Amino acid sequence: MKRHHMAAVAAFACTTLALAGCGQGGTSSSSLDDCVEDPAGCNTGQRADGGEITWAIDGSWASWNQNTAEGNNAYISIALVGMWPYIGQFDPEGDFVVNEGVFDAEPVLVSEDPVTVEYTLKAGANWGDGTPVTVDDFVYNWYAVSGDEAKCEGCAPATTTYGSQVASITGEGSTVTVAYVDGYHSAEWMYEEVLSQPAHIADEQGFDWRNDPAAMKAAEDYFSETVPAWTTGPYKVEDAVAGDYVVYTPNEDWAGDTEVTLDKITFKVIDGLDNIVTALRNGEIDGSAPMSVTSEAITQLEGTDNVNYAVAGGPTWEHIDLNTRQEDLQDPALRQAVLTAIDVENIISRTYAFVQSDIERKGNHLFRNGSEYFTDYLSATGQGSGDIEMARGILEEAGYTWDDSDNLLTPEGETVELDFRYSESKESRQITAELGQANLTDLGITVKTRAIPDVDLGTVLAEGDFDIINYGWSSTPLFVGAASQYWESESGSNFGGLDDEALDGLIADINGTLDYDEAARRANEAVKQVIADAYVLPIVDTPVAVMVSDRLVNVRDNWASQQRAAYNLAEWGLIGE
Amino acid sequence: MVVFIIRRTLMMIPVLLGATILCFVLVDVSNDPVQDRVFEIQQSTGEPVPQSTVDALESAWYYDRSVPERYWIWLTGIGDTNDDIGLLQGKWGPSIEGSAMDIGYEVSTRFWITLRLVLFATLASIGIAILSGVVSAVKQYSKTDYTLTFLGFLFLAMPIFWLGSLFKEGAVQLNKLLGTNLFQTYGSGTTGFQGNGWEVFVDALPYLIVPTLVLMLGGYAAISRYQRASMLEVMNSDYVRLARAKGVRNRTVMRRHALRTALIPVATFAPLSLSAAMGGAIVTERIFGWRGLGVYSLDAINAGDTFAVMAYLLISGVVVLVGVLISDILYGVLDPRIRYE
Repeated sequence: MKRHHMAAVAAFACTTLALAGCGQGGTSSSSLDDCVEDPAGCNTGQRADGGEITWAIDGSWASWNQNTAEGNNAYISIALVGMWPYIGQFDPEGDFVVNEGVFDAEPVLVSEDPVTVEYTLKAGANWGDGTPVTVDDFVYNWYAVSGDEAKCEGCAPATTTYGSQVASITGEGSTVTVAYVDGYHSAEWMYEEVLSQPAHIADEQGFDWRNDPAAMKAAEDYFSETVPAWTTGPYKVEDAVAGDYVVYTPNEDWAGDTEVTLDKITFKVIDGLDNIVTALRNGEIDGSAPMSVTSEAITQLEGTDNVNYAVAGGPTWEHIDLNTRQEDLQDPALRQAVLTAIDVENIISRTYAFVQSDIERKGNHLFRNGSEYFTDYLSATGQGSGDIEMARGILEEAGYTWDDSDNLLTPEGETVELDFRYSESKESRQITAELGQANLTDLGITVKTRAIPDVDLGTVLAEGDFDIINYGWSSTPLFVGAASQYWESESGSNFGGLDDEALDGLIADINGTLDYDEAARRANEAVKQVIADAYVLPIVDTPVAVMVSDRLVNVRDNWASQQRAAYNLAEWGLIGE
Repeated sequence: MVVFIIRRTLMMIPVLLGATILCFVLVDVSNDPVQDRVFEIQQSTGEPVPQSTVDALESAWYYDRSVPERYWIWLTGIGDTNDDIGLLQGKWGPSIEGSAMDIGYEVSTRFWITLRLVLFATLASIGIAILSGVVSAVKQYSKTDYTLTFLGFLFLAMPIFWLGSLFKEGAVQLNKLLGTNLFQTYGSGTTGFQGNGWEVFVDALPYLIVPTLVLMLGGYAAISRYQRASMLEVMNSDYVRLARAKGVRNRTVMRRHALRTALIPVATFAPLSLSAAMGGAIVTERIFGWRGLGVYSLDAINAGDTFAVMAYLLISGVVVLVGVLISDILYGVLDPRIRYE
């Protein structure tokens, strides 16, 4: 390893060495330690009646409408978790739990052709003002996210994957039926988000959204700019400022069965992990589940009384991508050799293992290690093994040679020079790039590492301004849309430009069945193909931490929910006697 | 004097215009917020973003126009707009952060937040600087002078981010030691607190103490050195020696003759210092979580939120230019040798 690589690793390691066995801090009677064995039941406890808590969110928002492109981000999703009409939540074990305040049971597939799904509303489900949730609310949401100018003129929905596929929505009593267009065959029909804003409030504000697409847009704008006074959740917003805080008090009209005990929950934006940890140590907040964790933060938590924390793989996964539009990387043999030469275990041991001692290499692009659909297709291929001899063998077979200085030469006699890009603020990605550079140097490839300012990551990816890049994708239990988004040749998110007809066919197959198990089997076929294409090399599920005052119970992290630890907000409480 | 003020005010206009053009181009060409937003949505939803949404974002943020066209629309509001832009019409333009973020409202509320932080710190730093500068000068080359000089250079040399972090940790430890929550480390007041001016001020005190100290210590050192030099110069002047020769008491000489004159440079420097601090409290605001103008500008620059950056530039630009103007006027008022024509 070259000296500067060693220096980077040493700098990272020297501040963290003592933390290799990270775990539980504080003296809490409840335990987050159990989350490894019992992710959905750890830190459970009896709750006291009443109490007020403050929870920190490490990012902000500037719109109250998650339907829209400008309003959809993970932070608003957490901030509105107490009132938003989600279809349900995946718990930390990846099991789906329907929203008990709105639905009486899980949606039911009543017809396969065309796909028709029936929703049964819970008796008493309402918008916090006594107005019941009705079919109109389903229709409103459909129009808002349809992407159809005839329904919502000028709207910019964050996604139209659901809305563009709906053919009709009808209702009778507490039953609402959503019929999809021909050709819709998603195995994830059960998890489509069918509600968002209250139609009756749009009516009250004078928006003729049913008949006038411009009025529909105006209604969406209204909901973007207006702090929601309505709620379908266990809490209602008492006070809020966009991007700053949301204060909740219990929603007396909630139709859910879980008893709410807290009198007040404040979600407060605190920028930066260091500020969050300091505020927690100073008693200004009661907990947080930030999107990043460092060994320095863990050191501080270790030394803090009355605070528990746990570190585990979070809702994103790290990977190294190759740009198939790059002249040399168009050759699958070179891509295969590059991914083989990169030593993933070495990268993990010198980065993520410092914050999560039990971290595992990610072995499947779509399914998390431990998932019932998980199979490790990677290890057997040698990709990520760091086996330089194997990589050289692949290249020799493809006609590559080496000059006297051990520089790799293409079959045309040209040297190979690549850049390796990473986000500048993420130390782990910088080290990943430097270690990858060292691995590829051993293969005779000249690699130049180039940092990307954080705000430019999207631009760099969209413009394909990289040869090799390390970044992260969100990781949810849902997989049907993911393969299509990552790898389909026409996808705008297929940043490395892979164009493989066989893979496109497999991806189309995933979308062609309503059977969840069968879809998972087909998804794994796509994973095998993408490995054969030597396109993306998974590293780990990115470690994140949840840090909680020991006076809180039923609070635990949840990688499977965008709302993270807040996924079960109704169950949160102060520890009882 | 009136003519001077009018002339200086008119001169501000081309300066501001030039600054806006330069800033607009720099921010605009260094970011592509549409692409970045699209990536963020993909990360959030795990689903592809439809082209119609990308087009709608470009249209809403005027990224379907050229840079010069966008600047013209921002300045005048003349052209095909969504009726939300045009500085001369009192519209600041859309923020890419979201429609709940009104740029005009943000900069106006954040202005007062920053002013609250900076005003106390600047006044305190000027007060301490005058005191320590005068003492240093009067006791030149004494132990007191050396100690004050050492402290001055120490705080001058400390980066604010480091000083801020140090004081923040100190506050946490002090709270722990005393078993109180006397010092708060993040924010400018209790979340959601509402009350009259006095109540808001009292509520803000635990949040105000540490950042004020940091800004004060970071700012006083330079002024202190300035005051010391000025005082020494005056103390060695003929009219002070004459006063002493006439038998005037030393205290009277210092207070009436020397200090009054030696304060002129600091007095003229103060408005400029305050206005510069209004735009320069970024680091302190970030460390202590004050949602002031500095943090707003930093976030806007990072996000490539051009219209938000422009609003900050205008506010801070006007504040600095007004500060310079007041400085110039004060100079003429305090120093009889200077007259404006």
